Amino acid sequence: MRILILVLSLASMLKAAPFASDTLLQKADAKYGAFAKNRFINMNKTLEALQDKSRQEQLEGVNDLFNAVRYNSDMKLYGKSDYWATPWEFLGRDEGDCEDYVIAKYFALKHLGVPSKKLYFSYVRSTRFKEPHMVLTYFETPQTVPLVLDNINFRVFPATKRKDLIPIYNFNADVLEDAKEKKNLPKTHKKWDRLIENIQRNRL
Amino acid sequence: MTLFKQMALLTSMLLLLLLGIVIAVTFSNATGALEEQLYEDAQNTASSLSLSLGSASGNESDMSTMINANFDSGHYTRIALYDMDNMMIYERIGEDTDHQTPEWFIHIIPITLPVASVQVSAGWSPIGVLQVQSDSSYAYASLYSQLIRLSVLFFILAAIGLTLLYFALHIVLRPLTKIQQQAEAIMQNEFIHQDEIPTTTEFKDVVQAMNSMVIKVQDIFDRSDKAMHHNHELLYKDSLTGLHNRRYLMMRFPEYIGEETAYEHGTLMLFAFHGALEANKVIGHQNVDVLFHKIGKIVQNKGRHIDDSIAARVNGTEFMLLLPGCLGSEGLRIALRIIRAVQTVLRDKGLEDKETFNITAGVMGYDRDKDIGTILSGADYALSQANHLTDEQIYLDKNHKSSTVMGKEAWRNIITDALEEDRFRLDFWPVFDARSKKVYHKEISFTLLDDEKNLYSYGKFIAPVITLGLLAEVYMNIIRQILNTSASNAGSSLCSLRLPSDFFHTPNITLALEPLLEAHADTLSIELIFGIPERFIATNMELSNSFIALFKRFGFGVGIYQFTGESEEYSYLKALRPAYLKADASFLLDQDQQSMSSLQIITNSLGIELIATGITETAELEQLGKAHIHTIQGPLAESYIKGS
Repeated sequence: MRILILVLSLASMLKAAPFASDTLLQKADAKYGAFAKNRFINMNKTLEALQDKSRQEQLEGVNDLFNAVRYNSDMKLYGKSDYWATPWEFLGRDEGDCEDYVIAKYFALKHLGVPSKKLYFSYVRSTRFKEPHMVLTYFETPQTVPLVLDNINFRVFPATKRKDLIPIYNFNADVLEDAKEKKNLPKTHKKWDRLIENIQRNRL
Repeated sequence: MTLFKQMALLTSMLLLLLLGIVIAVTFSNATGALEEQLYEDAQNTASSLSLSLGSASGNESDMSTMINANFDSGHYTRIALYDMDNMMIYERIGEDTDHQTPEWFIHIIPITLPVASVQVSAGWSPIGVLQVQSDSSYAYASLYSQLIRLSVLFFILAAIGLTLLYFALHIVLRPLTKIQQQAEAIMQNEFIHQDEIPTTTEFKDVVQAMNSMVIKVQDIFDRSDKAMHHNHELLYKDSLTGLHNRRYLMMRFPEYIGEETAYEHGTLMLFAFHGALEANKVIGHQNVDVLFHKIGKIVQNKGRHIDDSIAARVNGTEFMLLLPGCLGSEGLRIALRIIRAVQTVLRDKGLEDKETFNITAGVMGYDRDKDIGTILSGADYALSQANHLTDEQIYLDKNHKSSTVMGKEAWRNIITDALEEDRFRLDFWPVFDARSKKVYHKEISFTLLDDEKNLYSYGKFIAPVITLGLLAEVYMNIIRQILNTSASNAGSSLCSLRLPSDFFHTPNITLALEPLLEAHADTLSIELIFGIPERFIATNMELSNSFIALFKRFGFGVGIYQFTGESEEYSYLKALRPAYLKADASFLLDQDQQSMSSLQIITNSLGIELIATGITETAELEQLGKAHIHTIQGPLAESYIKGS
C-alpha cells in the first residue's frame, strides 16, 4: 500500500506543470474574480486533457478553447489601437482581438508539445470584413498546406479552403528567437519582444 | 609643493577624470544607440523587402531583381535570401566601403553590424528567410563627428572648469597665502599683525593664534624698548639739561682718537660756571635750574655744526664740548661765542656782576695719538689757567700739532695713485663666536701700499682722504674690489664692510653705487653686509633708510656699528632689521643687568647678532660671556683664531 502511495505521489510529481500556475490562478482570482479563476482552471483541465490527443485534436481543442472568449477591440480594452495581450490578460479579461486569440493558441499548443517552428503568425486580409486580420497557421511540413486556426471561422480548415482570407505575411517566433540568441540582438520584432517581456513577468 | 598646487592638481585631475568619464560614457551610449539604429534600419528594410519578395511567388529572377534594387538604392553591407532548407538563393555583398572616417578610428572603435532576419512567404507558404545587414560607413562617420564634437566640448568644458577651479581655489586659499606670508615674516622675526581674519574656521584659528603671538612679541619688544630707553636716560643723560653726562662722553671719546678714527685731531672744551651759590640766593633755585638748562643748550647748539660733536654736563657747574675734527683755533672761536651767549643770558637773568657770576672755558686742541687721560688733563689745566691767569675767561692749550706730517698734495698723489693703480689692499678680520669657536663673519678693513712699497694703515690715510674729499672714491674702489673677491680669498662667505657717515653724505653717491651693486648682485660669491654707524641712522633716518633700501634691493645685508643706544626708540630696528649690532665692549659692560636684558630681548626677538667690539682682555670676554654676549671682534678675537 505504501509502495502504491509512493508511486502515485511520484507520478503526480512527474506530471507536466499546468499551463497556468497556482500563483497565477490566485492572482487572476484577486484581479478578475472567481469566474476568471474558474476559466483558468478550466483551461488547465482542457489542456491537460489534450495532452495525449492527436495533433488534429489538439489543434481543434485549443482553437475551440480560446474561441469561446469574446471578441473586443484593443482600443476598448486597453485604450490602444493595437496591443498584443498575454494569454493571462486575454483569459482574465475574457475578451480580446484577433492577435490575442493567436497568441493564446500559440502558447497553449506550444505547451502541449507542438513544435513552434510549425506554428506561424499569419497576417491576412479578410475579404468578408475587408480589414486586416491575424490567424495562427500550422505547417506540418514547410511544403504542406497549412491549417488555419481562426477566431472568425471557428473550424480548423486547410488554408486552401479559406478563400475569405488573403495571406499577406507570415512570421515564425522561432526565427526571431534564434536571431536573438545566435546573433545577440537586443530585439527582433517590436510587438513580439514586448509580448515576451510581458509573459516573463506573468502580466495579467 | 604648496597646498594650492596640491589641491589644484588633485581637483584638476578629478575634474578631468569626471569629464573624461562623462564623455566616454556619452560616446559609448552613442555607439550603442547607433548599433541599435543600424539594426532597426536593417529590420525595416528586411520587413518591407520580404513583403515585396512574397509577391514574386517564388520566382527567383524577380526576387533577385528586387534585392538588387533595394541593395543599390540603400547602404547595406549584405542582403541574402535563403530557402527553407537554409540554402542560399541569392546574395549581394558591398564591395567597396567608402569610409569618410580615419582608419585608426575604425580600428579602435569596433561596430558590430547586426543582421536582421525575416521570413518570406509566397501566399500561405513560407519560402525562405531574408537577411539584411546595414552599412557601417555612415555609422562611423556619425560616430567620428560625434567624437570630434565631444572632444571640442571636453576641451571647452575642461578649460572653463579649470579656470573656474583656479579662481575658486585662489579665493578659498587666499587667506592661506596671507597666513604663509605672516608665518614667513615671523620666521624672519618680522611681526605682522593680520587684520583681515579669514572666515574658514581652521584658517581663522591659525591667524588668531599668530596674531596673539605677534601682539605678545610686540608687547615684549615695546617694553624692552622703553626699559632700555629709560635706562639709557638714567645712565647717560643729565636730567636737568637733557645733555649727555660725563659717563657718556667718556664712553664715546675713544671713537674719536687713536688709529681707527677718521679724525686727525679734535678739540675738547671744558666750561665752568662760577657763582652758582650766589645765583641761588639772587634768583632762586628754580631760576638757576633754568639758567643751567639754557647754558647747556648754548653749549650744545654752538657745537652742533661740527659732525659727531658731543655736549655733556660733567658735574653741577661744568660742561664739556667735544668737537672731533675741529682744530684748536676753530674751537677757540666757538668757545668765545659760547661765553658771549652765556654772558647775555646772565645779563638777562639779572646776574650782571662779572666778578660773582661768570663762565670760563678751557680749550684743549688734541691730535688723535693722544690718550684720553692726557686730553682731559689738558682741558682741566686749560680751564684752571682760564680761571686764574686770563682775563678772557678762555685758555687754549696748544698741545696739538696743527699740521700733518705729510703735506696735502703729497697725500693726494699717494691716494690718487693708489686709486688708479688699485693699490688698496683688503684685510679680513675675524668676528668670532667664542662659544662655538667659529668665525661669524669677516670684517673688511683696508691698507694702502704706495709706489715705494710703504704700507699705510687705515688710520694713517683716512684723515687725508676725508680732507681731500676722496672718501667716496676710495670706498667705491674698495666696494668694487670686495664685489670681485671670492669667498675663498675672504676666508668666509659672510663679510662686512663699515661705511663711514661721510660716505653717505657724499652728493649723488647712489648714482655710482646703484649700478655697481646691481651689476654684481647676481654673481657675488660672498654675502656682504654694509655697516652703518648708529649715530648716522639716529640723526639721518630718512637718508639712511634710502641707503638701506638700496642695499637690500640688491640682496646686500645691513649692520649697525658703534651702537650706543643713541636713538629715542629702537623701533627702527624692526624696520631696518640689521644683521648685527656692534657695540664697544666698554659700552656693553657699562650696562646694568636690566638694560642688557632689554637690549638682548630686542636683538633676540629680531634675530640680530649682538657683537662686542674692541675686546682686548680675556677678563672682558668672561664678563661679556656672563651677559650672554659671545660674538666678539677685536684683537682678542684675532688671537683666538690664531691660537686655534
